[in-house]
Amino acid sequence: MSMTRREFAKAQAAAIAAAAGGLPIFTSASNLVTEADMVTLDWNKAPCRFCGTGCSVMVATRDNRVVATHGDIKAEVNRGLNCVKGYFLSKIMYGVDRLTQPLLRMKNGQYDKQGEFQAISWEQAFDIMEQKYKEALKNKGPESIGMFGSGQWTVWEGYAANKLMKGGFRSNNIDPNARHCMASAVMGFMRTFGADEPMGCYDDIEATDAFVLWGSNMAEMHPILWTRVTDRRLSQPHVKVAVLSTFEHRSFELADIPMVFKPQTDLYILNYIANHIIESGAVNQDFISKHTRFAKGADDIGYGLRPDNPLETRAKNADKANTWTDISYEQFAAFVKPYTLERTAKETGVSAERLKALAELYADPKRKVVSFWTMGFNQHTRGVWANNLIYNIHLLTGKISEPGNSPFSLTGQPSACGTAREVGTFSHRLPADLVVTNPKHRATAEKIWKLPAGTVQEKVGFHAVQQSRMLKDGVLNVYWTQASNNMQAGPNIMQEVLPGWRRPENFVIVSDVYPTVSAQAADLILPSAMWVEKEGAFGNAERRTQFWHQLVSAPGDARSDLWQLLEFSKRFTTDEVWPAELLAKAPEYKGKTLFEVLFKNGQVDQFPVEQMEVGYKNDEAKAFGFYVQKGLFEEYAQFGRGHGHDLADFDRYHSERGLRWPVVDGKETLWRYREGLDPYVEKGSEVQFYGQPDKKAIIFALPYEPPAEAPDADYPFWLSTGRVLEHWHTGSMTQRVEELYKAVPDALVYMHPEDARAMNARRGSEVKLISRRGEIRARIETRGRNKPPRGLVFVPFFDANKLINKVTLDATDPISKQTDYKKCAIRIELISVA
Amino acid sequence: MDEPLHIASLLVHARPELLAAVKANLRLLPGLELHQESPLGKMVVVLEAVHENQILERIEQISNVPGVLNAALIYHELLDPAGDVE
Repeated sequence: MSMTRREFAKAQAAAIAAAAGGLPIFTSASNLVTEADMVTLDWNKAPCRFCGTGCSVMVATRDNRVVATHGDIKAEVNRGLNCVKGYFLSKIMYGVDRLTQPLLRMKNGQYDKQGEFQAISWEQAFDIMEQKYKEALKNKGPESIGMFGSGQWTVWEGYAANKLMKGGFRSNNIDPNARHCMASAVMGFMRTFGADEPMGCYDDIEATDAFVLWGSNMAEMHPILWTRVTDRRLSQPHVKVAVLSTFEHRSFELADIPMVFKPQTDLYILNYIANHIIESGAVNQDFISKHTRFAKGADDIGYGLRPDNPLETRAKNADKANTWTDISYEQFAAFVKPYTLERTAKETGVSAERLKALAELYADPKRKVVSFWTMGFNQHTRGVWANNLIYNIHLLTGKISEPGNSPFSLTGQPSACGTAREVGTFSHRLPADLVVTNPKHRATAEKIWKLPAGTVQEKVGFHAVQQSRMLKDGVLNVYWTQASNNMQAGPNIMQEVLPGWRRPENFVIVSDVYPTVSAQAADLILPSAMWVEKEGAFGNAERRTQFWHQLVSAPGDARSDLWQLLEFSKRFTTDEVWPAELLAKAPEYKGKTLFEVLFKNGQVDQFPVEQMEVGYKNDEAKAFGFYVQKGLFEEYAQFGRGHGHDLADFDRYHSERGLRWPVVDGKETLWRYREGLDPYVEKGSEVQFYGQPDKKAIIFALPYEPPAEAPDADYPFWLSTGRVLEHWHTGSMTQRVEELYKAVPDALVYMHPEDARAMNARRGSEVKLISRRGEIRARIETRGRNKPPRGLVFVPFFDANKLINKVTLDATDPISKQTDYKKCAIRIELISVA
Repeated sequence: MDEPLHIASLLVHARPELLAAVKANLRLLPGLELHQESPLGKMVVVLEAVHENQILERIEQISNVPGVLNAALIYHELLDPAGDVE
């Protein structure tokens, strides 16, 4: 290879990195000719397929194949940067075991629950599904069918699924895997502000003076945002970083104030900070008197376990967990008064000096603070409380809704916000923060959907964990999952997930791109199209809606989840699924298919295929004869426009690197609730939390309460689960990228070396992790990136060969119904020293 | 040279007070060149590798150097010998 070409490539690589890092570019490298190969490729933008950060990547295609990706230099989120997962994006679609045909368990040419998977046609797949749905609907009604979706659904896939389930089949048993991820954040927002999703945005990073990470390992889970945080910390030496966790991880390397606290005691720290703010006179009295009110939340609310569990029968307020009563500021101050520095230091195991330093960051009126959190808060049996308590701190000091002052809930999935939350694919929600329990909200949905009054059911459907339990109990009988892998990600697999899927009369359908653990446990597997094999939209953690075009075709018979939902809806007529009295209110729908009523309704089908941008494929538009994605999006956008959730016109998103809603008069909103920054805030009011009827946010008095399970003599270790940088969630995509697989092939048990020594084990020893529910085998790591304290081990959940969720407990936050994957008790047995 | 060559660039953040030590440690890694730096702790690092796996391995090694806060991959190119014109 010629040295000139090699040097040239290196100079180019260095120049691009320098540009991304804001360093001056050397003149020798600044005037570069593009490589010949680069111009023969077709480059397009698309948001990354993985986490909730929402990086934009440039995607190169050639001959119907994605051949390269790189960080999008024009994207505000990532400014040309990419993490290793994003870097290997081009390879996630081409694993050798990609699913390309529907597969049904069969014996002697017939469906048989005990049969082997055999390839069938889509026609045959829909035949058996139709038969199973109709049997269940006829015998037991809409409560016996369910759907488990995803924060990885595109916006229109989630919308179509939600509408088909709640408006078509009249079942609210639809829930996304975001329940495992974001539900506590949602309920935290709804209780405090009456409106979901962060008020701030990523621009806060460059405007703040302090970062506090509460149960978030951004260095591994949100590496691109972490690059921005690091850059801010290093370029502004006065900036401080505090990192809190139950074990030491990579983000601690940047920490000025590191803290490893005992599991669950974050509730002490949060209340202590509020107490410190009050006692030190740092309360922003003007702000709290104008813009907040105080309430005491119900306590002793249980642990979201099955109702006959002693922990539930003992709990006083398990049935009214999400209730509260008004109190005064003085009552609030008295409530947090017992959370003293001394007591908090004792309960948490953190030094008083560090706790005080942290409290001072929040209390100092001259210091702007961004709080970040992810699963440490949300996957918590008091996760909603933790979310409420962090808002307390920002509200007491008025450090909110302005550049640099931002309590910011990070997300784990690319469209946890855009699809799961904004579209309302939860079992209690409708689009744009509406809920099924509110008659006015149901009426709004029915009006937009052009459905007769009374179509949408009032009763909240089964949430994720409840779906597993109801499958096991035989209440839920037909279950369709898309873009999720609950047999690996769900808690307490052996006792509460697998039994329901394999119950003889139940029928489980899994749509996926690879034969995941879930697919292998199903009865029917449907092959899905993924990412740029379809036109899509995601919404990231900072309210940014991003679109992409279909750039390649899916392999074989793989079809998008959107096509699957719409095509399947043709199999049902209203007479088959609606009661006569409902149909009598809309006689024009008699004999019509659900496809005609829901999707060929004069709205969804109003945009002809000619409106599509020239030069792009669109397999769904081709199949149905209209621009499906645009029709669904424009109908969906009716829910939020004029109500604080305004989305821009469909076409504009294809030419933008995303826009943060509310988009009013063509302009995005970076900070909500602050006059001058948010068009919904009235002139002269300074701040309005307009999600609440009185436009005041609620500061909640909520106590410390113990976890559902804690170590004891029989099960002496804490188990915390989570993720690693190289793999995304259950690893179904990243484990198929050879480089990522080789980098981190197996889940390891991260453990303190003294704990290993105490059981005569060492790094590399194989051990058995055993809980009251199940066990797995894995190898010990004592020197890795995670350094737990004595008495706690950390195991990631990406590895399908080491299903740590056989061991976890299905205790949930009673308000959000989100599982606590961070705390259960285990014992560890040595198998071989190695 | 018949083997393909991978060129990648990274933006590496390190604690400014440890910058000199970090740089000395980074230079010990094979196929690594330091291209640019700022006193605030930012460095542009370019990697050369015959196989893609080595790039990930190197990133892991860089991340584990004491004082390194973050290593973000920015750019990657495969120099294919077929396209080589001497």
